[in-house]
Amino acid sequence: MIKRILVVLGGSRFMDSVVQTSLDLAERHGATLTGCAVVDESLVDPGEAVPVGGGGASQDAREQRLGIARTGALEATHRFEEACQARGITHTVEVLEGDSVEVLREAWRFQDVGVIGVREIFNYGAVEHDPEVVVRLINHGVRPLIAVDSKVTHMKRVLVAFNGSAESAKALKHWTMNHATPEVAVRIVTCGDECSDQDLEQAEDYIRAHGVTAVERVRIEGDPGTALLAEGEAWGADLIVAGSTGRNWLSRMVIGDTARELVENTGIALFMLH
Amino acid sequence: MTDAAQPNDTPRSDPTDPTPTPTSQGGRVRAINTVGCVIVAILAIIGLFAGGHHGEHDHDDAADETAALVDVEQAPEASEEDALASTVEAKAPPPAWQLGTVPFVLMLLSIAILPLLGPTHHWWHVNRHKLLIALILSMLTLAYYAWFVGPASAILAIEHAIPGEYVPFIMLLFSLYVISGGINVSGDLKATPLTNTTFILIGTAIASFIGTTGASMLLIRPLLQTNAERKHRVHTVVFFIFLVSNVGGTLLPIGDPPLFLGYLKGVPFLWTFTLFFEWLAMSIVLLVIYFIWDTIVYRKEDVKDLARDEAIRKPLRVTGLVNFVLLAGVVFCVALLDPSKPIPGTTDVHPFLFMRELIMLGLAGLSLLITPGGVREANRFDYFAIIEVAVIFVGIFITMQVPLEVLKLNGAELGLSETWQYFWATGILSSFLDNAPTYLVFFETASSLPPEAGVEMVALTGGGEISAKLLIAISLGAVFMGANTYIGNGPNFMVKAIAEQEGVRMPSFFGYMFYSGLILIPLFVIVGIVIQSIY
Repeated sequence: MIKRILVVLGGSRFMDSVVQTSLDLAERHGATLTGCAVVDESLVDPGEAVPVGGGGASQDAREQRLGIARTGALEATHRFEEACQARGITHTVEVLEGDSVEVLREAWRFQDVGVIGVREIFNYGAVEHDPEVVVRLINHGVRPLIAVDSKVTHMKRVLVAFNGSAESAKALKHWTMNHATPEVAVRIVTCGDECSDQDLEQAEDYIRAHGVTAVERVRIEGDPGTALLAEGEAWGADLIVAGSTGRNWLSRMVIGDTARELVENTGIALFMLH
Repeated sequence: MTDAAQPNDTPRSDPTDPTPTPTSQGGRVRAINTVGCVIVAILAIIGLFAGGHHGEHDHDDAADETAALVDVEQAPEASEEDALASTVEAKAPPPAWQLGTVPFVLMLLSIAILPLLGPTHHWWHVNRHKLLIALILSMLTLAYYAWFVGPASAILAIEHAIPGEYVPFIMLLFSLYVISGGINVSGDLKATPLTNTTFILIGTAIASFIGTTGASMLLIRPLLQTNAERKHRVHTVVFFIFLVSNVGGTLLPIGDPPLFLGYLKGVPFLWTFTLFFEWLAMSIVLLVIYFIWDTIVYRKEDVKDLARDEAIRKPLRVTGLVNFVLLAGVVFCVALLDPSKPIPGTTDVHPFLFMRELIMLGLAGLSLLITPGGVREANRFDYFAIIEVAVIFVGIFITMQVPLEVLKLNGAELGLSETWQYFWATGILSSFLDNAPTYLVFFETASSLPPEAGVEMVALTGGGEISAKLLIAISLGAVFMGANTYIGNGPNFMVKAIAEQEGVRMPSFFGYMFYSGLILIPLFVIVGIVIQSIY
C-alpha cells in the first residue's frame, strides 16, 4: 500500500514527468505527496581550478550560481504546488539545503516510494548534473525509487529484469504488490542462462496471481544493461523494474552494475530497488 | 551611473540584489576608499620600513642572491661578506637543496590542488587561509636556511625576497589594480564583427600599458553588454581572453607580472619592445581569425536578435578618465625611477630606495580620492583579488629562493639551451601554474648558462647578462601561453566568471583548452619555429 510519495523536484527537463508520474500514483493510491527541492552546494559549487587572483571571481560566480539555484528551487516548488492543486492532491513542499543524498535520506524516512528524474537532478539552471546522485540515493537506502525520463508515460508496458537472485525477486514482488494492475502488460526478461526456466515460471505465476494477465517471458543475450535497454526500447516499455544485479566487485559494493548502466543510459523510466 | 553598469552594482556579499540604495552606494564608496587608503598607508609604511632596512645593506641584486648562499659549514666564523665570497667561489648549491625546494613545490601544488578538492575548496576561498599556507611554507623555507646554511642566510633570504622582489612587485600590481579599477567603460554598440574586433584590438593595444588585468576588466563588460542580444558569444570571450588578457601584455613590464619580475631582475624597461613583431604578428593573426569567425556566426544569428541589438543602443561612455593620467604616472615611475640608475636628466642623483613604489602608492591613493563616485561600484571593485595575490606571493617569493639559487648555479646542467626548449617549457608550465614564478625559474636557468660566441646578450641592470634569444623565448612563452587555459593567467578566469554572470555559457576547463588547442597551439608552433630560426 502506498500512502506517502516523496517527489524530488529537480527543476530540470525531467521534472514535469516526475510531477506527472507522482500525481498519477497519488491519485491511484490515494496518497499524499511531499515535494522536495534540494539546493546542494557541493553540486552548485564544485571545486574548480582557480588562478592566483581569480579567487574573487570564483566566489562571485559561486554566489551567483547559489542564487540561481535557490530561485530555481523555489520556482520548482511553485510549479509542483500548482500541479497538485489543479489535480486536488494533498501535498506538502520543502526547500532543503545540504548534501542532496543526506537531506533526501532524512526526508525519505516516512515515505513509501520516491519519484525522481533519472538525470539532471537538482539542476535549477545553475549546476551540471552529478550522475552519481541517483546511484548514491539508492545506495543510501532511498528506495524504492521510480526514476523517470523526460517523457511522461503511463506505465502500460512494464519490463521486469529478473536473474533469479533474491534482490531481483524482491524488486519484482515490491512492484507487483504496489503497482500491478490488470491493464498492464508485463515482460519478464532474463539474460543468458543466469536464471532457470523454473524460476522464471514462478516469477510469472507470482505476477499473474496479482491480477496481471498479459505476462510473458523472454531470454536475451549480451551485456545485461545494454541488452535490457535494447529489449525495453524494442518492446516499447514504459517502465523497467530492476533490483541489484552486481557483477564486478566494485559494483557489488555500491550498486549493481546493470542498475548503474540503466541509470546512466536509460530513456525509459526505472523502478529501482537495490 | 549608467544603465549598463547597474547589474554590476552589487557587493560580493549579496550579488542577487540588483538595486542598491543610494545610501548603501554612498556607504560602499566610503568603505572602498577607506579600505584602500588604509591599505595604501600600510603598504607605504612597509615600503618605508623595508627601504630603510634594505638601505642599511645596500646590496645590489646580484650580491643579494649570492648572499643567500652563505654556507656556515664552510665558513662558520666568517662575516657575512666573507661567507658570501667563499660561497661565490665555491659555486655550490646550498646543502640538501632538494629538501629546500619542497616548500616551493608545496606552494605551487597548494595553489593548483586545494581549490579542486572537495574538502578544501571552500576553505581555500578565504584569503587568510591562503596566507596561513603561504606563511607556513615560508617558515619551512626559512627554517631550512637557518638549519642547513645558517641563521644569517634566512634573514638574507627574507631581505632578498620581500624588499628585493615582493614589495616592488605587489606595489606595482596594487597601484595598477586600484587605478584601473577607477575607470569604467559602459555602453551598448551594434554588435557587428567589426565592432567586436575593434573592442578586442583596443584591449590588445592598451594591455601593455595598463596591465592585462586592467584592460580585461575595463573592456569585458561593455563588450558583453554590446553582445547581449546575440546568441553566439562564446568565441568572442575566448578571443578576448587570448588577446586582451594575455598576448596584449607583451610590450612592457607593466603588461604582465612575469615581465615586471624580469624588469626587477635587471631586464631593461624598454627591452620588451624587442617582442614587438611577435606581438604584432600574433595579434593580427588572431584578430583576423576572430573577425572571420565572428562574421560567419553573425550570419547565423536570429534576425529578431539582430533587430533587438539594432534597437538597443547606447553610446560608449568612459568615466574616471583622470585615472589614465595616473596610469601614465605609474608607467613613468617604473620606467624612470630605477634605484640602480640616475634619475633621467641627472648624472648622479639616484631615486632613494622604494621612491618608485611610494610614488606609485601615492598615485593609487590619489585615484581613490579623486575618482568620481559610482565608478568603482560599476566595476564591482573590491580588494579581494589583489589581497589574494598579495598573500599568495608572499609564499611564492620566499619559498622560491632555494630553487632559484640552485637554478642560478646549476641551471646549465638541466640541458636546456635551445630557444624552442625555453619557449615550450616556460609556456607549458605557464599554462597550468602561475606564469610569474615560472618565468623566474627559467630566467635563472637561462642566466646561468655561459655566454655563447656570437649570441647577443642582454646586460642586466645590477650585473650579469642573459642570452637575448632565450629571454625572448621565456618572455613569449610566459605571456602567450598563459592563454592556453583558464588558470594560465588571473584575468582569464576573471573574464570567464564575468561572462558567465552575464549569461554566456562558457566552455568547461577542457572545453576552453579545445579552443586554445585548435587556435593557439598551431600558432605557437609557428612562433617557436620562427624564434628558433631567427634568433
